[in-house]
Amino acid sequence: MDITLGQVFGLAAAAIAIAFPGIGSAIGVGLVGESASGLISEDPDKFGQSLLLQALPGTQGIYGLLTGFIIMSRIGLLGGNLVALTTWQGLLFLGAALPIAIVGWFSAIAQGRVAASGIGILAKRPQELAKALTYAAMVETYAVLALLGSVLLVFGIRI
Amino acid sequence: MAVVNMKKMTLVGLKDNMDDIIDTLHKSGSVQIIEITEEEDNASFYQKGLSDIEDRLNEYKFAIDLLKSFNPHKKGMFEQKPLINDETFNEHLKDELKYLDDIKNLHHLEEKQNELNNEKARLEGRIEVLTPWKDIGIALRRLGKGKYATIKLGTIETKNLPDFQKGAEELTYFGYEELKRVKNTVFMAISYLNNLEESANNLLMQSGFSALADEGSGTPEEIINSLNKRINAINENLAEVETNIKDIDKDWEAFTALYDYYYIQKEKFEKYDDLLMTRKTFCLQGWVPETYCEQVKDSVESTSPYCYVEFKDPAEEDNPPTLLKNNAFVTPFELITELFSLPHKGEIDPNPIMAPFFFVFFGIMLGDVGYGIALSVLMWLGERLIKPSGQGKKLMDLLLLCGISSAIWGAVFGGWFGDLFGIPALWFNPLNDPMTMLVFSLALGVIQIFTGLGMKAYINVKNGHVIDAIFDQGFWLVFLTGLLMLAIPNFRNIAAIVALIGALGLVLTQGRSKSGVIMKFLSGLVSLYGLSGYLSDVLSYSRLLALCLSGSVIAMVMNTLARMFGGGVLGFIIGLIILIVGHVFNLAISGLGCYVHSSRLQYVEFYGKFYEGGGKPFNPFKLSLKYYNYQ
Repeated sequence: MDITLGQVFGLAAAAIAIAFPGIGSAIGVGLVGESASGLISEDPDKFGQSLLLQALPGTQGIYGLLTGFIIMSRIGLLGGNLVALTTWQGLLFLGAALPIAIVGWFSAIAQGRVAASGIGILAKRPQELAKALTYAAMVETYAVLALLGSVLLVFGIRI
Repeated sequence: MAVVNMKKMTLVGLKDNMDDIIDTLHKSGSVQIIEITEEEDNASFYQKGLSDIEDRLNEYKFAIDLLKSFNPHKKGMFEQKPLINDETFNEHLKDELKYLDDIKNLHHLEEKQNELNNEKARLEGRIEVLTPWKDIGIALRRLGKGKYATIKLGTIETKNLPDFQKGAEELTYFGYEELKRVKNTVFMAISYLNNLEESANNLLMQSGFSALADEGSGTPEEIINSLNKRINAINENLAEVETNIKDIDKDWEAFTALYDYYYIQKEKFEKYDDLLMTRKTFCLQGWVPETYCEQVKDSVESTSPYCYVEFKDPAEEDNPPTLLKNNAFVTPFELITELFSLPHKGEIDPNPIMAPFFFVFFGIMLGDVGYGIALSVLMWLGERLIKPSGQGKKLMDLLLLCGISSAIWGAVFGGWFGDLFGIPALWFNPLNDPMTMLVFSLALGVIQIFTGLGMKAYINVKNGHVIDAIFDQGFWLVFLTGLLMLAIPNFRNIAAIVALIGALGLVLTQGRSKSGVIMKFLSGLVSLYGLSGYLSDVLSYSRLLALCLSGSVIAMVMNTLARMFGGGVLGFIIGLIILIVGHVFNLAISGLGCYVHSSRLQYVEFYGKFYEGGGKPFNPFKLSLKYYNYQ
């Protein structure tokens, strides 16, 4: 079977949907981990709570994987019968992947910053942890919206 | 709703009975004592007693810690703390002198143990230094500074050896002999004439020579042997000390009981600081939940007949603490509000109205029968194993309920560990039909936001602000309803009229606090911009779809991965491992997401409409024992 340019674009769409939010999440989770280590050196009992904060910026990577997976299933990569996409169809997938790729990337870093400063809340007023979590969840809204956009776009493409 | 009414208790009594009365209140555990003195007036009265109590506490703590290091007294997972009552306390108190004697004994034993251990460590240090020299048969008494010459044993590092050798050749009457090498260390004997001492020492210092120093006189081997003999004797002594300490372990029960007893005394004494006192009388104020008032009054009056107890409703300037009481279903959800902020004075308890929303939202987001059941079973088992209390118990109950909800919604959306079994959905599968799911999510959002507005209207009416309820919430409800109806084709005309009425009402009333007709009209017009707030609130509920999809897609990814290994025993085993690890990971990460986002929807979108919070939790003066439960 010949590979069409459309298929290459389709695959690239899945790839960027997975890769960029993944980069963002890795940076975000890393940021929180760095601040959390400082806290744990003083107060090891707060490990579980700090882990909650650290997990938050990780969701963008999951949203990215989710979008990538839906794209893969739409273009038939998972079933083994790759659909012969036209170039334009491939580009449509690429476009559909952009919202989560870009917003997922940057929002994960921003969320990582918020969660990292939330470690400060955890250090001084551990009973206010829910507020730190809520601040971080505020940032995530935009990743959720981008995911929604990408998913609807991917489902909207006719093949 | 379910905020418990608080009464302010004022109690005046004789100082002679003060101790008994406070003891009664402490054990009843239903009064939060208010600090009514700020100066340390009473300091002289209680300071002495308090420091005595703290001394005792330290004694018992010392004894308990020491005994623990030999016999940890670990309790089984299912075991409860034993019960204790005043009678047992008194029995132990009667024999306290004996126990204090035992503790004195423990101090001696511990001191002895430390001495022995120190000596042992010192001897072991000497052995460690001597061991490399063991095969060198030189008696150490031959070393040192003699009449004419000095002999030393010692080591230098191999890398310093060439410099050392060069330096040694430059000195006449300086001899050295290499005895052996171990790794990078050279063991050697050196000798020099005493009149060379200064330059010899210089050379030794420069080449990092470290001399063997030991107070013994025989050969290293002889010394080591005698040291070992001494250590054996010490070990025997230590064992004896240990048996003596273990003998006192029979007092464990008494020590822990008396520790708890003095802990109670300490807490009681610390409360004296909060009371008003005259020479003969004292006055105490505290918050008591309405339902406990009679009980508290009775128990105080039966403790001491010469006292006056009075309960009053909180005054205007008072700020009573908040205690919530809800039914078994709602109670776990109190945690969500506790983590946000408790209702302030006079505010309604939002939990009964919030609980169903949280329950449903969490269920939709996790949306998997397998995960739901796993979560519930885990929490059920966890509660039986850990026996949590307070917020920990609420959290586990909450997750247990949410697991049930997830199982229900999982059946609705066809999630059974993702698509593992291919069981069809009862309603529809969000993955195949995301638009329906989106509309459903936003519809739930509209319901919750309307409920929030309704709550605010209810609160306004309850506080006598009927006008505000109609203008601020009523018109918004009309306006929003009209806009929503526009979506239904057959109702377009009516919808437009309804929306216009609502909008007109808002424009005419929202500026009512401003002065001047133009200002009133303008700020009314500007208020319509609040629509964007409602729009973003509703859109925020799209996270129900997003989290539902993310959970089920990750589950699908795991299932696909596992299936890739296909047939065969090995493939089956690898597939099974992937399934277990993958689904546990997904349950953990999705569960966290569901919890955080369900909470966020309550905090931001729902509570933002009607709830303020800012109350302080009711924190009664009650017993908190470490080793026993008071009966």
